[in-house]
This record gives sequence, structure tokens and C-alpha cells, in this order.
Amino acid sequence: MAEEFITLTIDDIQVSIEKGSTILDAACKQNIYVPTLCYQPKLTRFGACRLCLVEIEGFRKLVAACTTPATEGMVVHTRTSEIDAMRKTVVELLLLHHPLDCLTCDRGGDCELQKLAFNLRVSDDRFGFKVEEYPVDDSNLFIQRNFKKCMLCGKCVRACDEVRNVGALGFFQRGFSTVIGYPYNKLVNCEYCGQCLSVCPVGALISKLSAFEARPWEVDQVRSVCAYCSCGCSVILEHKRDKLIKISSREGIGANDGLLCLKGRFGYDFVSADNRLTTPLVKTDKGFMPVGWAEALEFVAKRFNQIKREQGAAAIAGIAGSRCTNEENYLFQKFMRACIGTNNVDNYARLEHAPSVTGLMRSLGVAATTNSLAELCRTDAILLAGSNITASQVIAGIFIKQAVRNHGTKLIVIDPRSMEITRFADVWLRPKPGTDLAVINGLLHIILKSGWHQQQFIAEYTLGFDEFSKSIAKFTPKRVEALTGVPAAQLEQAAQIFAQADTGAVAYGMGITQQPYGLDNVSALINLSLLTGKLGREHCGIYALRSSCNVQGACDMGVLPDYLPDYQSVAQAEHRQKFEQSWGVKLPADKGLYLPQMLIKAQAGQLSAMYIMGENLIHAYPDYNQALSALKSLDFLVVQDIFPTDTAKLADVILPAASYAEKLGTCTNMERRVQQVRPAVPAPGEAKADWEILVELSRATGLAMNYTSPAEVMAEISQLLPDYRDINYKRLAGDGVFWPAQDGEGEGEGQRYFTFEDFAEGKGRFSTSEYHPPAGEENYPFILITGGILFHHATGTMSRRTKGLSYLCPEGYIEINPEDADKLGIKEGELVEVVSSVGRVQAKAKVDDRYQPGIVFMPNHFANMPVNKLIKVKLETVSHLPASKYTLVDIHKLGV
Amino acid sequence: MCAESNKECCKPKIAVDLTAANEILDQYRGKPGALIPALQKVQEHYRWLSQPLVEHIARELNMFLSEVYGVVSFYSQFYTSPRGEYTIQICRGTACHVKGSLRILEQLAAELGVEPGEMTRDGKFTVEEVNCIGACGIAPVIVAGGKTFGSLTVAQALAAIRNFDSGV
Repeated sequence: MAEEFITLTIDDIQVSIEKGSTILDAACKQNIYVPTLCYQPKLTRFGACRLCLVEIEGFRKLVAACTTPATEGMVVHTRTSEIDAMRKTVVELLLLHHPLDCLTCDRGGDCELQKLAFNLRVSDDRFGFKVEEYPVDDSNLFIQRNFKKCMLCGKCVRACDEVRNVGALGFFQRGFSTVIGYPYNKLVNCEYCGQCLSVCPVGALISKLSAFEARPWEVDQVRSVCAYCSCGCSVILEHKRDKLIKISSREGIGANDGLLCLKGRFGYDFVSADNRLTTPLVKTDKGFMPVGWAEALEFVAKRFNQIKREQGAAAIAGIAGSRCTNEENYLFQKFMRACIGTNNVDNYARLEHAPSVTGLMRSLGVAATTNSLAELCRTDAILLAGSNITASQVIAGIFIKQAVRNHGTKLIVIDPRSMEITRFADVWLRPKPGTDLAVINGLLHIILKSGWHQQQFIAEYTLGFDEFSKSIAKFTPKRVEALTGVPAAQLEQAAQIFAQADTGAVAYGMGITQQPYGLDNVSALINLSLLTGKLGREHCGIYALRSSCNVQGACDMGVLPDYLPDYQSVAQAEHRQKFEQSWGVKLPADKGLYLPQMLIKAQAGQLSAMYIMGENLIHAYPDYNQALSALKSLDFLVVQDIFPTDTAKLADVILPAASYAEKLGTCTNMERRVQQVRPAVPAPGEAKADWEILVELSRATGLAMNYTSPAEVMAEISQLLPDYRDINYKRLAGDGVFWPAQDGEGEGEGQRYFTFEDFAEGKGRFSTSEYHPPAGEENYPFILITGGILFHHATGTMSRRTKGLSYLCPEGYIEINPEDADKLGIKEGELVEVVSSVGRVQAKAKVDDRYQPGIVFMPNHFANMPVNKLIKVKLETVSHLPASKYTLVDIHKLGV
Repeated sequence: MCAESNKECCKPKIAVDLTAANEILDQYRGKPGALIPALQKVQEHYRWLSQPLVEHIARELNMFLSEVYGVVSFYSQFYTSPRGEYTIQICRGTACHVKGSLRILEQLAAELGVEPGEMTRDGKFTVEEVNCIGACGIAPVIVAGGKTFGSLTVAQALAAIRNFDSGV
């Protein structure tokens, strides 16, 4: 439908604009300055501040430009002596209540009211009004609210409600007594995201973390990418000389469009933590001794070479961190393959989304999320499975909430846990843990039986339909209800919603993948997209909600034992040949060890050395006992990290690395967006970027990888990886590029969504699988589910070292349903012991009903509550993921 | 413990008997524009809207607490502090003022030992000032327990209240 345009005149300039726009929109389009305080493009129009008053010819009164629709032929004046006088009075009235302490106000120099007063020459108070005294609200850990400075523009209230759908803030009382604050002065719902802070035009809201650190003009800004989850938010690192002061974002940039979560906005002070590693350390009889880089690297090289000589290259393995850059991951696998000569490389993805890599490769031939995150906002139906998305991929969660609220998206959630997102669901399917596959197959069965499947689409774009349709015949709603506890009527409703929507997306997290049959779960979800024709076009995607910022990139870069970069199989000679030619060495043809196999081999004494870059493996690995014993069995362990993690403490050599705020490189977020990470501050002490360490180490081992900058590495990547072709640093200057990016020109943003042309066979392949009900065990009556929470990320190497986040959530706990707690006589905060067949862990009880009775939950971020001690992993047979979502335990109250 | 428990989906333990509130809310759940009538009905039963009640209403109507509390605190018809069994409203409109309603207010408040707006210790009365109730012809006026008393002297006003006190 063509947009209707109207034309109006503003200050003698003709402006054409879509019908329905306001006068302010039109003025903005023409870059005509109209002052505002309560206006924010993303928020509903408020019309409260009266600063955008304009004159319209033929109107008796001045009108607010932000709320008055522009009409055809309208003649508008934005600057007349009457308007100026009116604006001046408005500012004078606002300043009645506003203390003029700009000298010591944290927003001084960056304040909208100050700017207006300056522009309108308002300096003295001609009313002589006495400012009412209000106490400052300090209840929020990160944000201070000064009521005296608040002008009640309501931006924070609207941002909290409309943008974040959190609703922690409101207007209370009325008239002169009106205040903005938290209901009952209680921080109900607040997610500490700081969105309110980011929209406040004055100093009413200030960040306690950065208050009085610097004046706005002393601060330099560097655009970079957040180091936490895989949303890959664009952040602006604000630094005063060598100190990181603040992190912010801006509307209109990056995947996040100005949104940040509390980790992204406030979780940065780990960068300047006291206990950063600052010098290489070598383990001696007297503990770790600091040594120079040359000595450390020579020692590492000598040991690696010696082990290679004596036991063969296969006795060495490498694990790369999903928080390192693409360039570093690329160099890491190149170092292991070319310099050491082994395919024993793997990364954190093995532990969280290996079934996604395998499943998506098998069904579609691409190992990545198919569509962009922003598309979620306008998708008609979304099925979200196994993800506490508003805690672990906050920005993607916001997009889904906005979709439900603004687009009318129907949301189906499959998860046993009651979460914030379940409040937004049209249908919440709540299966017994471990029975997700039956639920998904039940949906498939209903869709097929009701004839809601897309026959033409299936014929044209899919393979293996007949076999698949036979395989799900058994999953009648009745049987599924018996297996999973999900009422058949709800299944029918969900199936109908998803199948009949025009566009639909499937998003899933680790609740789906970290199961013994996680690959079958993933494949069943892909089947759902194929059966309903919701793939290969805009707003129809499969989203693998990955955890860390560069898990996608680490896989793309070939830090995988079975794939060279860009998923080119190591087993195929022509793929190897391409890399052999470029690298000038012969590459090993045998598939390397998957991460869990490395640990098994190490325990058996068949693996002697390991090189771990940026991963706290003993806590990241879901079987703590196994990881610990494996690393202890090694002859030689090198750990490269920014902190002395528990894994680093087991090492023979520790190499100090630079954090994300201290280095240049690229990261690929979960939507395949390649973005540039840029340095704002220098690395502490002698710490170096991982890529530099790898380059120097390669020289020491005798086969030099000579790069002088990450840009050079990227040049090689773009030559050898078809999906990264035409990506270069110049092109990455802005919002990044979605791979596949080849366009011959080296311009543009790449491909936001996959079409069937992008899939390996030009088609999607249906999968079949056997259903395995979860096992029970008599002595362990509770099901333990482990996972992430809002306040921390992964093993907490970064988040637990930021003061704010560790204050908000200092320690682990166990969530117990009130019914179970009553039966066991456990009260909130009491210490309990959790026992499984392999270990025991103590934790404080948190009594709440997020899960049904019989299920308990423990977050897995805490080294001081190593919940992984309870877990004996079961390997997923194809993708080699060590399944950990589901463990049987018993609980005892302690101290009785 | 972890601050995540500030989420509304995490039900707090409430000491108020919510049976009546639930019965009322059952009529309003899922209906648009239900908040104000629901608040009125709930207040009618509980006399005032305590914090646990407001929190419960927000949760049951699937609204943000900030929104519900915003409405509660905006309208003077909603009470956020305990109310006595009987409300004594002393009209402070112009006519009543001229006819000495201030003295009635002061004397009544002194008799009951409360400030305007407060509830007596025994939970029997709440004294409050109201603007004109539109009965200027019989000024000064008070409304006590829903009954209107007009053309009052201070002594008559006190007597009216004492009658309530003794249950007449």
C-alpha cells in the first residue's frame, strides 16, 4: 500500500511527509529545530512540556508540535516573538522547582534544560518561589532519583513501560504533589536496565556508578560491542583517558537500537578490577612466579613441541573462548591445526548449542540463526522453547515483548518454568522436564492431522516429508498429554495459532539443547518451521538463542574438531587443500576430539597438554568432577585469560589477556551480524590481546603466523571463508554486516534473512527421531534444573567481578516450590544440602513457585556454589553435547 | 538473597484474607476498563486498599503495580491508610465554613483524639474534611456513617457521634 503524503510549510520551507505524522515529525525531517523535553521518538506522544509550541496560521492559539497532526497546506511558524516569550516563561516555570546546582550536577553540560535556559537567556528567578524539599531516592543500586530536578516529563515512566514492558515506574499522587517513582517506594519488577537513565533529559536520574567521574566534555566515546550475551548490542564505551567511566547506547544503532540490559550497561567495572592478570605466570614449586613474555612463550612453545615430538600432535588439544574475537578464534584454530598439527580444537558452543550446529547443518546446511532479531518485532506468531529469554538474551526478549504488545504477535511458550515471558504468552505449554520433544511432535501431529501444513511449500522446498509424517503418527494429543502433562486442548490451540499465522518464528535456548536428546529437539523445531512453511523469508526464522557474545563467530571460525572455518569439513581433501595452500602446511585429515572427548582422553592419560583461551572450563563444563580430574591429569596446561579463574589456577602457565574494552577485532552475534569491537582503554600491565599472544606464540613454536593487526587477519578470513567474503574493516564501520556478505562491492549490510537459495540443497530436510522419556530414580525424588539468571552471565568470570551485579546477586541458591518446602520443613534462606548420585552441594533455599512441585532450580554462575558437582553428564550421541539440564537429586535441610 | 525476587511473577506471601477480593476480581478479570470499578468494589469490602491488596489486584488483573498504585494514589476516593468502621466527613465548603464548621472539625477531632484524615485507635471512626457536599441549605453539615446531620452546633455534632459510639 502506497503511503499517502501531505505537504505543509514550516518556516517558509515546504515539507512533504507521510499522512499521520505530527508537525514535529515534519520539522525534524527538515532539520528545523523545535525544542522539546518530553518528546522521545520511540515513546508515545505526551505533550506535557509545552516547549514545542508553534504557531499555525489560522489557529487562535499556539499548539504543541509533538501532538498536532500535520495537515495538507498547513503553514507553521516555529520562531516568533510570541513563541520565544512563551518558551522562555515555560523554562522559567520549570526552573522554579529545579535547583540551579549545575556546577555540581552530574549532567551539567549535557542537560536539556540547561541548554534551553542558555538558548533563551533565562538566568534569574523572577517568581521567588521556594523549592519544596524532597529526599533523594537512593533505593536503586545503580540509579539515583532526585525529585527536585524532575520535571515530570514522564520519559522514564514511558520508557520503562512502553519500551521495556517492565512498568517499575509510575506517576503517583496528583497536582502539585505528583511524583515519579516506584510504587510504595518498592523496586517491584525493576530490572536495573537503566533505560530510564538513558532518556532523562536532566540530572533527575543519574548513574551512581559514574557520578562525578567526569564532565561530559572530558569523556571520549568509542563504539563497540557488548561482551556478554549473543544479542551483540552496540555499546558506547565512554572513557576519561585510561579509565572506563560509563557504558551507554544510542537509539538507531546496532542490533539493540539503544536498548541495553543491566549487564551491558552496568557490568563493566570488571575491566578495571584489581585482580586482573597483568603478567605471564609460570607455576613453580613456590607457586606462580611472574615472568617476562619472551620467557613464558618460549617455555610454552618448548613444551608443546616436546609433547608433539614425543607423543604426536594428537596429544595436544585446544579450547577457545566464545568471548574472544573472530580474529582470535581464527588464529587459535590456525595455531592448533597449522602449528601444532591437530584438529583437537573446540569451543564453548559444544556445551550449549552443539545440537543447533549439528541440527541446522543437517537439515538446512547452515549452522546459524536464519533471520535477524529485529524481524521478531513484526512476526505474527512466535514459538519460544526452553529459554528464560528476558534474563539470558534480554534484548531479544524485549523484541518479543514489544511484538506481543505492539504488533499483536501471538506468543507460544514451551517451558516448565514460570518466567516473565510466560506472562506475555497466549499459550504457555508447561511440560514435565525432559519431555519437550513429545510436546513439539504433538504440535506437528495436530498440524498435519488438521491439514494446516503447507503442502505446496513442502513439495517445493523440503525433503523427507513422507518418512517424517509417518514418524509422528504416534504423537496423538491424548498420548502427548499423558507423556508431558500438557493439556491436549492447549496443544491444539498452540498448533492452530502457529500454523495459521502468516509469519512465524521459532526461537529456542539451552533448555532445548542441553538435553540427552537435544539434537532431536532442535530437529523437531526445524520440522515445525518446514511443515508450516515458516522459513526462507522475512519474519519466518529459526533462532538459536546462543549464550556468549561470540559463540557464533567461534564456530564460524572453525574452532570445531570436525570443521575448518566456515563449516568446511576437515574430512574433505578439497577443503583442506584450500587452507593448506594459504597456510603453507599440510593439515591433519582426521576429525579431532570433541570437547567432552578431550576430557575423557585426558582422564585416561591419552591427552597430555591443553591450551585454553578465555574459558573457565572447570565451571563452564557441566560435569565439574570430570573437568577437574581431566585438567589435573594433564602434563601441561596453558590458560590464557583476563582473570586468575579456577581453571587458570590449575595451569602450568597463565598468559594475561586483554579484555573486550582493550582490543580491536570483530564478533558475530547470534543473528550472524559481524561487528567491530574497538579498544577504549589500554590493557593493564603487560596483558596483551589474545591475537597478539597467538602471533608471538606461533613465532616461538617455529611456524610463524605473521600478522601485525586484526585487520590483516580479517583480510585472510574474508578470502578463505565464503560467508565472510567481502567483509573488511572499512565496511564494518557502522552497524556491522550480516553474513553471507559477498556482494562483489564490499558494501551493504549483508543478508538479514536466509532464503532457500542459501540452504545447502536449496531445500530443508525433515528429520525423524525416537522419543525417549526422561529417566527417574527412586532415591532422588527431585528434578534439578540448572540455568542462568538475569544478573550474571556464564561462569560469572566477568559479571561476578562487577560490584553492582555481585551485590544484587552475591551467591547461588536453590529454588524450591512452597509445597515441597513445607513438606521438608524448609524455610526461605535456610541452608539445605542437595545430593545427587555423584556429589553434594550446599545452598540457601529460595522458596518460590516458578517451578511445579518436584522440580528445583539452581543458577550455574557461582564458583562458590559449584552446582556442576551434582551433574553426571550424558553425551548427546551425534553432536557430542554433554547434557546437563536435568539431574535427579535429593534435598535435606541442614543443621537439624 | 537474589534481587530477582522483586519480579511480580514471584508471588509474595500475603497475610490478608483474599477470598472476598478474589470473588470480586473474578467478575473483572480480562475485561477492559475494569480497574476503577474493581478497586471500588474491593475497597467497599475491605474499607481501604492496603498494599497487599493493591499488589494482589495488580497481579490478578495482569497490570503493573505502578499503574494500579498510580490510579489508587491519584483519586481521593481511594484510601491508602486504614479506615474506621464509620467515616465522619465534615463539610468544609464555604457555607459550612461561615457557619463554623472549623470548630466542629476541631472539637470532633479532639473528642476522638485524632487529626483530620486519621482513624481512631479503636478502629471505629475516621475523621476527614471534605469540600462542599452540596447541602449548604442546612450548613454546617457532617456525614457520619452515611447519615447526614445538618444545622449543627458543636454540641449536637458531638452528640451525634456519641450515639454512634454507643451503637444507637
